Amino acid sequence: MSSMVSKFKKIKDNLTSSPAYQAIIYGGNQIGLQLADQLTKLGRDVVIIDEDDRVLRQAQEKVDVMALAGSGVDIATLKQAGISKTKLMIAVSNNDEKNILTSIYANKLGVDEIVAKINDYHALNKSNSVFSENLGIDLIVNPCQIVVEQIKDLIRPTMKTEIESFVDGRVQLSEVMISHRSPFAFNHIAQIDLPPQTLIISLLRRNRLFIPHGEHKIYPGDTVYILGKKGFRAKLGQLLSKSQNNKEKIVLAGGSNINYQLAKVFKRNQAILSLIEEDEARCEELVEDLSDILILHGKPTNIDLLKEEGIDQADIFVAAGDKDEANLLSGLAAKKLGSKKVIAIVNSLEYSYFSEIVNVDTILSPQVLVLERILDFLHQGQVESESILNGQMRLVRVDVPKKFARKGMEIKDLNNSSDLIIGIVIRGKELIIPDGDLEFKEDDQLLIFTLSAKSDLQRDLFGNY
Amino acid sequence: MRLKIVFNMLGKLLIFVGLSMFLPLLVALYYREMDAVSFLVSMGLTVSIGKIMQRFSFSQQEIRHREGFAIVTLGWILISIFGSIPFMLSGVFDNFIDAFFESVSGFTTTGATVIMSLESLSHSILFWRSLSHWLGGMGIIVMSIAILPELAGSMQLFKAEVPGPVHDRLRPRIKETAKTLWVIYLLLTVSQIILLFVNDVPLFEAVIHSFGTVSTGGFSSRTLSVRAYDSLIIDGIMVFFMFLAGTNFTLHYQVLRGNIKALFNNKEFRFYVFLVTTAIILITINLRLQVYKTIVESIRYAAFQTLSIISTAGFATVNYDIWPPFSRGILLVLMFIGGSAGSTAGGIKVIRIYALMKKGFQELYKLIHPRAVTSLKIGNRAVSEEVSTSILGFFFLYIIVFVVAAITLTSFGIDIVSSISAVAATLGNIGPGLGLIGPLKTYVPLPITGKLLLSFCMLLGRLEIYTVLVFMLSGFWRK
Repeated sequence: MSSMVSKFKKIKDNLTSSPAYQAIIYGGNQIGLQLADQLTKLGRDVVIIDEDDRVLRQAQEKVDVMALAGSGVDIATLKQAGISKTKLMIAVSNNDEKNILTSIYANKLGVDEIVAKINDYHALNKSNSVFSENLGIDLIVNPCQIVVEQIKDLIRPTMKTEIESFVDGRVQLSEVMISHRSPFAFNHIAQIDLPPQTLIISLLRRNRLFIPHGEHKIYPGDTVYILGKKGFRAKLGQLLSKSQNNKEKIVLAGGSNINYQLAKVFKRNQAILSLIEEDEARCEELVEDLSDILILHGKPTNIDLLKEEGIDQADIFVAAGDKDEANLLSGLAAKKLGSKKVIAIVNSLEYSYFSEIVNVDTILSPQVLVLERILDFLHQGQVESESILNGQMRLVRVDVPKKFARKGMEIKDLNNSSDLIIGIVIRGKELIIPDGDLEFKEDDQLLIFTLSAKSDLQRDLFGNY
Repeated sequence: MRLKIVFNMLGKLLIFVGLSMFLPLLVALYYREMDAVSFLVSMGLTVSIGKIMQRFSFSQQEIRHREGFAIVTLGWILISIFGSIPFMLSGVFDNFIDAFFESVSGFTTTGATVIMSLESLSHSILFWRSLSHWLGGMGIIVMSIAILPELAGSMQLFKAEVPGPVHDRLRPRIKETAKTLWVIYLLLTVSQIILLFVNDVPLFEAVIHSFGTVSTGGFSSRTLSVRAYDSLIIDGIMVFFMFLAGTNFTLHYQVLRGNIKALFNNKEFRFYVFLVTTAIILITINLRLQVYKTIVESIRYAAFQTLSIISTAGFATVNYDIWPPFSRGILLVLMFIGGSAGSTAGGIKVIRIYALMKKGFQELYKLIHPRAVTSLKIGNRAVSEEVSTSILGFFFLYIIVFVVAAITLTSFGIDIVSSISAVAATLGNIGPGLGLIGPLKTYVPLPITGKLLLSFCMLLGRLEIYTVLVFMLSGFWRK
C-alpha cells in the first residue's frame, strides 16, 4: 500500500514539476551531444541548434532534447529556441567566429552563463580578459590549449594551480605533486620555505587526506594542497623548478598545432626537442617559426627513422599528427622501440577508450578534455564550494567571538584540534592567510578547512567564550 | 528484440488502462447500474495481469527503435483486447469479435460501431466507449510519457504513436511536450463540454459528445447521433470543435501563447482551410440544386458532414448516403485526406497530400527544365529527401493496404461501394461509410473475418501503417 502511495506521489511530482533551467547548445557535434546528454541528466532542458538537419534528427533520437535547425548567429533562431528564458549558452560548433558571435548575442540577450569553444590558438593569446570582461563569455575552451596544458602536466608532474578558489577568487588552492627531485621532498613541513601568505592546508597520502602539522614530513608521492593569494603561484613555481636541471629528450610526431605549441612551451634549455613531420612544406614553415628544435622530414610511422633518431633514448614521445590511426600506430611503435613515456592524441571520441587495447601510456582526446573542462565549469556553479577536494574537506565560516578578540589572543592559543585548519582570516576588506602568531581582532571572520563533519566548530575552537 | 523491456512496458500500459476503468465505475455507481460489477472485475483483471507482466520482466535497459515499435503495436492490441472485457462482461455482445471490434474502434477513434441501439446501453458502457476514444485520441503512450517518470525520454515511443511525417517538439523535453499536448487536449474537451452544456445538452451527453469530437472519434450516446438534437447551435459547436480537432496541436499551442500569426503562416493549416471550404461550397451547391430547398439547410448539412469526415470524427446529422453521387464522391475523397498532422484526426493527413502534390508538380516542372535543381518546400522549410521519400512510401503503402483490404471484403460478397467505403472509413479512422455501412447503419452485417480485417485496418490507420507493418516484417524479429 505504501509503495502505491509513494508511486502516486512520484507521479504527482512528475506532473507538477517543470524544469525551468534551460540551456542552449550551438553545435550538434560529438561534444554538443555529450554535453546535452550530461545536462539532461542534471535535469536541465536542452535545446540544440545546428545547421545540419540530419545531425539533429540523430540528436533528437539519442538524447531527450529539442533540436532546432538554424544557425546560432541567427537571432530569430535563438529567439525560437527561447533564449529569453535560457540561463546557459554553450557554443561548441566547429566555427570559431560563429561561436564567438553566438556568445555575444547570448550575452546581449541576457543569458547568465556563456561557454564558447574556440579552436584558433592565436585568437586568445593573452587576451582572455577581453572575452570575459567585454564580451561576457564566462569560459573559453581551446582544445589545443587544454591538450598542451595536459601534456605539460604529464611531462612535468609539478602542480595544478587554482583547483579551487575562494572569496571571489582572491584566494586559490593549488595542488603540488611531490616527486623525488622536488625541493619539498623529505622535508618537515616547518622547514619548507614557503612564500609569505601561503599555507599548506592538507596532504594526500595513499588516498587519505589529512591536515599536516609542523613536525610532519613530506615524502615523494604525496600530494600537497597549498593555499595562497591570487598570483602566488608564480613564486611557488620558481621555488619548485629550482632544481630541475636535467633535460628530457622529447620527440614530437606530427607537425600539428598541438606539437607546435608544445615545442614553443619547452624551450631548448629545458628539453631536447625533435619534431617529425611528413609534409615538406610544413617542415619548412616550422623551421622558420621555431628555433632550437630538430625538424625531421619523414613519416612518424617509419621505424628506421625513429631508430635512427634514437627513439630508445627518448623520455617522451608525443604522437599528435592529423590522423588518429597514425598517431596510435606511431605511439605503439615508439613504445615498442623503447621510448619511456608515450602520449597519443586522438580526435575522435571512439578512439579515446582505446587505452586499454593499445599499449601506450596515455591517450588524450581533445574532445574529451573539452567536454570535461566544460562539465567542470558547470559543476562549479552546482556544488556549493562548501566542500572541496571531492567532498573530503569541508569549508566553514566562523565569526570570532568579540570577547575572545578583545583579549588579544593569537591563533596558536586556540584549542588545538588535528582535523581543522584556519585557512583565511577575513578582516574587513583585507584577506590574511594566517600563521600561528596572528593576533585576532574584533569582527574577524575565519574560513576554516575541516575534515570532520562536526557542526559546532565555534565551541570547539573558542571553548566557552 | 529484447522482449523483457517490451513486456515490462506493456504491463505498465495495462495497469494504466485498468486504472482508467475506474472512471466508468464511478459513472456506474452514480447511476446505480449493475455494470459497476463488470467494470470492477475487468479493472481488477487488467491491473493484476499488468502487475504480473511487470513483475516477471523487470528491466533497466533503454528502449530502442525496435522495442518502440513493438511496444506501441502490441500495446494497442493488448489495450483493445482488455478494453473489450467490460463489453463482454456486461453482456452487450455475445461474441468476443464484436466486443473487440467495438473496443478497437473506440481506442483508435474510429467510431465504427456494431451496436444496433445505443439507447438500450447503460450509462457506464456508453461512457467507457467514449472514454476509450478520448484516451486513444491523443494517444495512451503519449499520456504515459507525460505521467510516468520512467518513460521520460522515449522519443522512440512518441514517434511511433503521434501521427504526422515530422515531429515538432513544443518543449525541449519529450515529457513536457507530451504534457503540453494533453493540457491543450484537456482544454479543448472541457471548453466543448461547457459550451454544449450551456446550450441545453445534458451533462452526460455533453461529455460523451465532447470526448467523441475532440478525439475525432465519433461515438455518440444516441442512435441518431447528433441529429437527435436537431439544433443549429449544437451543430455549429460541433463543427467548430471538429475543425479544431483536425488542426495541428502545435498551432493550438502557438495560438494559446499569443502567436496568432503562426496560424496564417502555416501552409498546412491554409491548405486544410482551403480543402474544407472548397468541399463545403461544392457540396452546398450540389445539395441546393438537387436535395434541399433552402441554402441555409444545404450549408448546415454540408458543413457538418464535410468536417465530420475530414476531421475523421464520423458524426452525422443526416443520412448522406442518399445524397447525389457528386457529394458522396467528395466525402469519399475527404475520407482519404483526413486532418492535419499532429492532430487527433486520422487519414493520410493534409500535409502529406500537400507535399505529394508539390512533388508531383515538381516532376512535371523537371520535364520542362531537365537540369533544374529543385527542392521540395513547405512554407519556407525545405522538406528533406528522406522525409519526402517517407511520405511517398507512406502513400503507396496506404493505397496498397486499402486495395488489398477492399478486394478481400468484396470476396465476402459485399458490394463494391460498401467495401471501398468501409476500408476507407476504418483505415482513416472515420467510422461510418457509404452503402451497407452508411451513417445510419452499423457494421453488424459484416462477417466475422471482415470485422477482424477492419479492426486491423483501424490499428494500421491510427498508428500510421509504418509502425504496424514494420512489426510484421521478418527482419524485425531477427537478432
